[in-house]
Amino acid sequence: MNALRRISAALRPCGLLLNLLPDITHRAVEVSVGGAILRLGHLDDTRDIRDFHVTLAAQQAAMDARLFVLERETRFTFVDHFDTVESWVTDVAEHEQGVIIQASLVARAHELLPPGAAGEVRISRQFYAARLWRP
Amino acid sequence: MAVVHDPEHAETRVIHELIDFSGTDVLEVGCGDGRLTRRYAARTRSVLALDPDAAAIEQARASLPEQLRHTVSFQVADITSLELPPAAFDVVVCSYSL
Repeated sequence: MNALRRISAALRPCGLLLNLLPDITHRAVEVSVGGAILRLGHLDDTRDIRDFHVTLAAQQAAMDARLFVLERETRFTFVDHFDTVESWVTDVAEHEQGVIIQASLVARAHELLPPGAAGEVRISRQFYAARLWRP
Repeated sequence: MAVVHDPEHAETRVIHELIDFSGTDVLEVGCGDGRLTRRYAARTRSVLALDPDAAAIEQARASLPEQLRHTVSFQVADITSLELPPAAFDVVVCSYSL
């Protein structure tokens, strides 16, 4: 809420806040091979989902305090494309410490996309976007 | 190793559907490595992009195209402690940061 108060003060009257955050769904793990997209399972995004509820509560509190008026909400799918299973696993290890990928998911991905095979790993995530207006 | 983020441009399409950035002064909170910044900055008058992660800001500065260097300013800062000029921005972009 403190951040939203500061943001409101920084905006000119009738200024806009664009709020983007991961939605309340776990990321889907897919493999694209031979023209087909096969869904293998999900990553555990419990922490992000919890953060979504906290952020939406703060957004609502800011609206209740008349700092902002919600004009529009929407959702979209954001896909990360990895050329190999290894590049996906490495990316998670480097940028998402704390995220554990189930060994069975990695094994299944390797079965479908062995080294040298044409295809990719797709990590698909739903995002929430809101446009709010500062009175 | 190769990763491509959102080659479908779904995020870019949505942010431009929601916000007309033309000629705006923008504050971005939680800019990270500038990935999202680069998707809208060309239309703005100015962008001040903040992130408390110094390494991410360094990467954002290094990755910024030459033609945007007079428009975009990256700064290591936390929105909860930074003093901002009042009523200075037309748009604030909060990217997974509230």
